[in-house]
Amino acid sequence: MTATLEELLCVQVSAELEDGGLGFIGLGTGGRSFAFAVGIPSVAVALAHRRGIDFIAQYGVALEPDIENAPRCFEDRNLLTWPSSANLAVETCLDGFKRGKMSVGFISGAQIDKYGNLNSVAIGDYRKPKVRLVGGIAQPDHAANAKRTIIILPHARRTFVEKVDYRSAFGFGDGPGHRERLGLIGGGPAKVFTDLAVLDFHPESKLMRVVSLHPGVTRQQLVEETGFALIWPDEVPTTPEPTEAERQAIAEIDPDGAFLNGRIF
Amino acid sequence: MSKLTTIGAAARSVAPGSSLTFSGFGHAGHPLAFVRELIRQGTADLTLHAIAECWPAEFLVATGRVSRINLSNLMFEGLGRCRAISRAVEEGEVAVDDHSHLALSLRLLAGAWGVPFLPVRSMAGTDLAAVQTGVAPKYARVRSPFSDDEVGTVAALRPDVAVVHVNKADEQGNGIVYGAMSVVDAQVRSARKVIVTTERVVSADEITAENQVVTVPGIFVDAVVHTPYGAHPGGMYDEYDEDLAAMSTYYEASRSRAGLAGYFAEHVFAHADHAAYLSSLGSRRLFDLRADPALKIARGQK
Repeated sequence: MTATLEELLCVQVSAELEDGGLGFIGLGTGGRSFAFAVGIPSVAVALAHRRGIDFIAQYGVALEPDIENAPRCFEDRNLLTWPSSANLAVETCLDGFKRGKMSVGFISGAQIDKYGNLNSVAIGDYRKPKVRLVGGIAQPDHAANAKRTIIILPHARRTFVEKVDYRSAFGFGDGPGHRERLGLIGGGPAKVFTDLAVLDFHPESKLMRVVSLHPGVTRQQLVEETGFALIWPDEVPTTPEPTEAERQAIAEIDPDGAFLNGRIF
Repeated sequence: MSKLTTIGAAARSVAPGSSLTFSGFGHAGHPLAFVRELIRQGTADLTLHAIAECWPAEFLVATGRVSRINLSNLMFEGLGRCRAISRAVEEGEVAVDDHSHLALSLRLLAGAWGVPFLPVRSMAGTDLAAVQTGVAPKYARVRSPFSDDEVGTVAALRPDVAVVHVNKADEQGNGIVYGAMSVVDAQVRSARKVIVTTERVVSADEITAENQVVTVPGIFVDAVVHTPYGAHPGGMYDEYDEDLAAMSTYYEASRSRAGLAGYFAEHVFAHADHAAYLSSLGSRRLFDLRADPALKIARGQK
């Protein structure tokens, strides 16, 4: 295909965003992780705006900033001077979650399991891990309280695991009814977007299932890159490629690749 | 009586084994001059309540000064993981206890309010709640006193010392922070001792003129230290930019323990104090980092 994977994901994520919605985009480290955690959701929101969808994004402390005039360098001083409707304190910026007002939390991680639980804390034994990761950040707060979460992460067998080494963000926990038993006000993960496929969760079993495979990706490839059994539809659709108009819009929104190439410094 | 003191005296007031929390968020507002002095003095066996203080935590862990960390995340925005911290945790040298960002800020807020705990929905059903490695428990579920619902709670934290870097303060420690506040309010009010390091020491009248934005009320403050460029190599909103070259020098050095030893020998131990550190950078470099008073940033880059 001629479109890039990032372009395809931007269009797919954008289609999920509803009029009147409020989404929380966190901050990222660098490179590919930044593109998945921050870049793709940002461009997706800007694409939605161009379709006339009134979806408000909040970047940590910056409420409703002008995404099409984003800083080309995500340092704090640039975030603080980024034109936005409000610059919130870090503590109160999470109030939208506490009150259940946040409709979408965009999250990512190093591991995900069949129930959509995420790990961004540690690989291996927690007390002496093989790899110590950055920590939960506010993602546990998204996962507990947002009306739904949209998960964007690279697809690999070491990432899609039967059981996460450390459950830092709650998906559907141990399965159906677990969220309700804990009194979590959010609805849990709605969709998972990867470099191979779009996935969601079966409404009853809460197990991850395939929605579509990206162009050129085979069923066998997805099985090999997933460490647990997925639910498959009878017919597996192909994720639509972005149109030329959509690609043009993305080029205008992110002209020098600050979002999608993850160049922050 | 004036609370002004020297950076050396303020750092000596931090006893080995203390628990500390620091201001700052991302790459700005961290009291790094104070951290360098603490490293020179060798104060060790520290516990950190690290809400967003990646740079202080990374420097103190890299020099072996930290035993325990309560954290929600420690990462360098735009760069990657904090390598010294990751390495120390992977080698079992530092014990960590993880929280959600909201939960850790609520623990400090509970300490600030003088209540034993606060309720929180996040963390239920996760390993953040199930795996408790701290000296004292952090999370418990209780029956609500007002309904039959069960609710998660997090225990109050009272740091021994909060070190907060501000744009300006008077001699009583009434301090103003411009830019990202992070959880400075809760840090200042929960700590048993508060040390303010400030870019500028100003008159009480100048603070009074802007008293609606006083972040750090002097009644909570024990010591005030005049510390220009106190957040270098990080930035300070409305004062100076992040020194990206100096930050990159550190991040490259952090690839190995030998690199780190070299970095701290050259940038910390080679200098008797903060003034000597600034002299080594040179006035031209410091001037180039100054913020434009209108734009609040130096380079005006988009």
